[in-house]
Amino acid sequence: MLSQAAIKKIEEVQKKYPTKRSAVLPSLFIAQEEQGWVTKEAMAEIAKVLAIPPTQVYESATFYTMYNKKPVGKYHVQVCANLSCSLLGAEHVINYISKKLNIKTGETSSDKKFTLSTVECLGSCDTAPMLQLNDEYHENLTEEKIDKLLDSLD
Amino acid sequence: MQEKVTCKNVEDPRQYTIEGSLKNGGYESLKKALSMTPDEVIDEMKASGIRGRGGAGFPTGLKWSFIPKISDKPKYVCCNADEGEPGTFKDRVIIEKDPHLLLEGIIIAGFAIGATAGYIYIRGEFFFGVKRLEKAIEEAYEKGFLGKNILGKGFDYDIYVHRGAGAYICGEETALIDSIEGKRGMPRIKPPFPAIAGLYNGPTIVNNVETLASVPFIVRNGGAAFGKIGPEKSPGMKIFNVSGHVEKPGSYELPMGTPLREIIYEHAGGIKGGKKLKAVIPGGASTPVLKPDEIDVKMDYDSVAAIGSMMGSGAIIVMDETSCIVKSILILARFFAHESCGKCTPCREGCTWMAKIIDDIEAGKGQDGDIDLVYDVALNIFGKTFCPLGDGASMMVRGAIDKFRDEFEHHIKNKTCLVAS
Amino acid sequence: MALVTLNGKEIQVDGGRLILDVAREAGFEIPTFCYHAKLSTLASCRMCLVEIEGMRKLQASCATPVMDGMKIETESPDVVSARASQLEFLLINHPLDCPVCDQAGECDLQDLTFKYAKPGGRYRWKKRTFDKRDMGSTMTKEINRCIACRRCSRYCEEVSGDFAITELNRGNALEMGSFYHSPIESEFIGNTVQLCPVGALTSSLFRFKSRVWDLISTETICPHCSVGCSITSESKYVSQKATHMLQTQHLGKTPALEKTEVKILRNIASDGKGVTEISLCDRGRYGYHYINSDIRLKAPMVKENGRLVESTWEKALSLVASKLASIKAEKGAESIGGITSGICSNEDNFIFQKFFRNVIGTNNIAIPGDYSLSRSSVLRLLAMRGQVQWVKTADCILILGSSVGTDTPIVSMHAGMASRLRGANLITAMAGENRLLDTTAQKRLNYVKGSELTVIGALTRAVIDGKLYCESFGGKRKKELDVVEAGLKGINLKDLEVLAGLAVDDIESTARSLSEASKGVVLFGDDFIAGEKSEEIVEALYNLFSLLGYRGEKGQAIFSPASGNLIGSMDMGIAPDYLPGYVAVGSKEAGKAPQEKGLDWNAMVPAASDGKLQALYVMGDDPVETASDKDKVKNALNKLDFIVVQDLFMTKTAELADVVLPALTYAEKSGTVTNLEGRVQLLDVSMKPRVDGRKDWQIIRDVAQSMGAALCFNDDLRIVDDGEVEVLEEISKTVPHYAAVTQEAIGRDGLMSDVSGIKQAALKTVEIVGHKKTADKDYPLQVVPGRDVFLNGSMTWRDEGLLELSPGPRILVESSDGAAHGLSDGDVITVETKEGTLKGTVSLTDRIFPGVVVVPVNHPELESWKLFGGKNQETLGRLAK
Repeated sequence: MLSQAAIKKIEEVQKKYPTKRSAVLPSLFIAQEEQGWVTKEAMAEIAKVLAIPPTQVYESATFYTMYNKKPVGKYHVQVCANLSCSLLGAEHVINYISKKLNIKTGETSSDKKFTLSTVECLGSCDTAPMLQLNDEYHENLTEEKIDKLLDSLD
Repeated sequence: MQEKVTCKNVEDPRQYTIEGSLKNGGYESLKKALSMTPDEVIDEMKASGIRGRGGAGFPTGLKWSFIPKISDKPKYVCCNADEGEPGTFKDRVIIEKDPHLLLEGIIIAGFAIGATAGYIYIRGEFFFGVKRLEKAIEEAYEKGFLGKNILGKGFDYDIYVHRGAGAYICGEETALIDSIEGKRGMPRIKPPFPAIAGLYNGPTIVNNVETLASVPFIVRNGGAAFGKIGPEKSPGMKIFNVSGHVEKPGSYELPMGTPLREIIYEHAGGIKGGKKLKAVIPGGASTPVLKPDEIDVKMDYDSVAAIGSMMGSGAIIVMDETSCIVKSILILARFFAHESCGKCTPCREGCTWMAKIIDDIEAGKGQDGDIDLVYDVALNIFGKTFCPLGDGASMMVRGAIDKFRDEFEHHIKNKTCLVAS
Repeated sequence: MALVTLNGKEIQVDGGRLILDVAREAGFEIPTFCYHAKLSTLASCRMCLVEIEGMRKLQASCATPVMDGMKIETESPDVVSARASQLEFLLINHPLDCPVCDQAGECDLQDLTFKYAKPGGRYRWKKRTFDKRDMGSTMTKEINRCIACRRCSRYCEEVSGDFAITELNRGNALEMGSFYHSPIESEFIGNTVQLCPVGALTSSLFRFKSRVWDLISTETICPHCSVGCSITSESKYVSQKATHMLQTQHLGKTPALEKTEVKILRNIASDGKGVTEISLCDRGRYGYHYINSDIRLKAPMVKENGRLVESTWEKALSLVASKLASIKAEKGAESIGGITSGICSNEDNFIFQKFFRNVIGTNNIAIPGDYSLSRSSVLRLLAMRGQVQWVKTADCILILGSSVGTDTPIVSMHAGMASRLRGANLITAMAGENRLLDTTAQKRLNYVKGSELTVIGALTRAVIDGKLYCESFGGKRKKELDVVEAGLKGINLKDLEVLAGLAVDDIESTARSLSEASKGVVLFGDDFIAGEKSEEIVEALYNLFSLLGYRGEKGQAIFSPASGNLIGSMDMGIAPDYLPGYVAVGSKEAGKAPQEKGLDWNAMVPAASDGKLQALYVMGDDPVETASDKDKVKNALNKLDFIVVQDLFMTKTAELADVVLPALTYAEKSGTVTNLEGRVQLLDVSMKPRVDGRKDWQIIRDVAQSMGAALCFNDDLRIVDDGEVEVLEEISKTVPHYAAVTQEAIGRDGLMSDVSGIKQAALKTVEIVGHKKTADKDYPLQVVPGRDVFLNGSMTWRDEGLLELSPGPRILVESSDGAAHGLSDGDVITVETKEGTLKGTVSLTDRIFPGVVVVPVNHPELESWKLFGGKNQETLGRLAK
């Protein structure tokens, strides 16, 4: 169940748009912020609040990659694997993190702390290689930087 | 040196605040625009000759002039900040460092076409940019640059930020509109074009961040001042993003027509570690790769097109002699397969198929005939897809085979990489 | 006009038309998958690409309009190669399992591959596969066969409005599916099976039953409601025998003479015929299993020693004849009654009434039901025969009552479509379930069951107070307005909340919308006119529609009953007070017909109880099962001396009968039926009779012959196939508004009967005393009778397919009420009213208003009639776990 606060936010965000369906994307973000991923129940609730068919929420949720359709760890490590980062060692970054956290890409650590993903270009090619940790960019990655970053998390 | 258009003040650490922006002449162009008629603003845009900075290069003034003067539905401005073309990070610079410049451009655009609201469609991953923009919008409302009766000129206008959620295709203007409407970002049938029936079926312009951020300069200095920069047919300043194997990767705002060699070797400091250049992708993932003997090309829409590639978004990805072309192309082929929306047959099926073939070749599992096969699949995609995404994938693959066929052949014959071996 | 050159041939066409349409008309074939004339343009399959001179790329002909001077090539090398490459793309991930695919033989992918693809495969990688998903009881999804044409999702969004199927994921992983792949519950989902051009969505009920090329198709009319959709019934007729013979020949044995079994195996919508476009409801699509049922009556039965035993036609007919003759002779013709059903054909009903009036000599004929209307009210209903087409194009639609949605789903669907796609103002006033899904924008009014007359009174009041009536009622027809208003003294809009539970604003705005509409329509069905006040409700509706001008000029009213041929039965004079063509009994025009009015069903029951009625002849009805007061009916019938039932099944009424005669289904007979518009349509024989039964009219004819009377037929008893043509000839001679009706004139699309010559009486005052909403804190809920959309009477209760579709007897409880009672779907609860109690399974829903509980009355096993005390009125109740 979404919290009352989340439902209130969903009702609020509708005001930006002339149609309720427009609020689908922001509403899914609101749900994800609260629950870490978007659940079936959350989608049904969003549909109810927006008075649209649940399939219209579901079809959008499955189209966009930022919505987690299954639970992710507390820290979602998303490494850019596209060309510019790859040229400057993204693969090594991924392997290094994978080994360090003992999870493969796409996996979540057993303590639910980390999920490791590869993502498409994040528009930070001048500071390659880079990753996004939850909503923050970390750039010009080196092994030392990765150690420092991941070790600092609790 | 030519005055910069969009990156003039990005080095100023306070530029992102309203005070910083105002100190550097922010919103002066808005004041000027509101003292003009909407048609006069559009005329200046036409006079500037500016072509869309998103990659397609359509003349912006012309686009604006397609908007019907009278409409029973509200009109909209959509700012395309869905910067997802691999190698591109120019819009992010403007959004994060000079958001008010962008807002000013969006407001002027709205005034010119008689819009009631502007939506900034920003990549969902740009959390920081979203924060900067939302704060800037709040400040602009406080100062009366947004809201009711802007600057006392009777113009009402709102700007909203709409976050994308991870879909490259939403950079296509009709997919972007569908995405604002809460739908899956799948390109729409044209006609009707967005100028006639776009967002919520109202007349709509969709412009790239860099294009809209150029508007204040054009209004302030007149279209002619912009038009005289660079080549006549694609004038103005342009942000080039250089990444990959260069000493100084980064954003460089330069006149259109600056030679690619100059951008790589002078502005970006040359190839990293003094290595030899092998290949350059001149304008983003879908633009065919260039060989070192082609980099004297001038970076403008027509000159790059003349040698069989495209300037695209100006995302220059530099590869040195240690780079494997097959692997690089595999990364891009996978990218297109991942980002195909799935609407039309050739793109949905073809992009994935290409990625599978190249994957085999790269992994040393390729068979004789695979190069011709992937080339033919690419040809079967090209020109038959619903939107340009499939075309881009096709050109990228064919361009690489045309120029570096030997590397592909080596992978098949020797089951190893030419570079690694 | 535009001059275009198509493959070198110059043609003049209307500018703006699609290249695809123009080319196909000109005889050039262009293949398509995603294109469908009745759905929005998608242009995604890329099969229809054509070459246009001067254009850099090939263009999708389904989305490109012709322009003057265009030079188009549909067979150029580039076009041919593009088609072949689309097919290659579509096939690389396709399972190529045609041998076990039901679609084989009618598969667009198979056909176009055969025609346009290049031979040879170049794909050696693993094929993409999707998980198997349960799509509900009627549909099998083999999504690996899907070509992503999105016909199904467009249908769900644009036509049915159930949004059941959509596209999920993206790119190569794009998959058509439902919300979290849950089974679909929609009465229209079967249409997606028909629209699917490949074998991705197939019917579970047809699965592996037959190759499509072994089917024999017959165009006929769906019997399951009054819309009269055009269906193509497909039966398997010869293949089993043929296969068997081939096998035996191969084995060198003499083929055994086996009886070939004939079954209807599927119904499909006859797109573009009659009222039908691409849609049928699933009740119609899958409601053919009863025809094939083994529990059908197979031979005549006669009661011997208190038990019904099989007999012969000869014996049974002579027993009926002699018994009827002796009762007539001893107790008079008035002691015999006859009832028919709204399912029987016009021919059946015409002969039935003729038999009763000419041979028996009584007007005691009726159709049992929830309402009984006298001739004057039935005449009013003639003014309420709007067209389905009108609903599609209306700009304001008012639906009165739930049964429009549950009984005539196609009408309801068109209303939703008009609202969704064209922005028509949709207003629903319902006491019970709203089948128009929650996502169709509509203004929803909730009235208290039993206050229908008050609702009409209030609307009329609002029309008068707001001067919203047609101009003439303010001038030369002012007197008529006064006549109407005279009955409304008891209706004050301010009291509405107390009266019917309605808000005054809602009533006023509804009246205004109806008045301001340029093309309005009001729909109502059985539940709105049911009960003791039927006559007044119909008369009051007539008054309201007259004031609003909803009699064809600017608006229409459409009465949409559940029974497939109720309208035709009325036209045929199945009534105690009028003859075919609505000629009043006893009038000059009545000719030789009995002069005395007969008994209607409500009068026959007490007449049976007190001995005035001695015999009852039942044609296709089952009042013992369907009566709202079953015990009363059963006890009354038990008193009768003689009962004859002709039916398909051993019904509850048939169990009481002395003689039971097996009839034939609509699939086994020809004839005509008349839909809610008054459109007369042709039935056609889809299969030879499965049992030793006879058509209803034939049985009556045979009884008459046995009684020594000829009903104008001299044909041999043994001839079973023809005769309808002759009956129809007599109908058109007898019934003035069927004068033009002949089989040829009916043709493919049916023929509208012309009721314009039937004069309406002047407006009458209908005294309306506002129904006062009752309150009882011990019984806080309104218990409202509802109907399961998949069922509709005797045939459907014995239809394996429909019973599979039906969610079962579920008691609908509004979600928040359910939460308040701590209920979940599937819980068993007790519903209590002052009249009675029943136990049932709960289904939580948002399709009803809070405070309302809906109990289906068309699930006999639920015995819901116990809750309502045999009356159709406000019923208070409560729930107990």
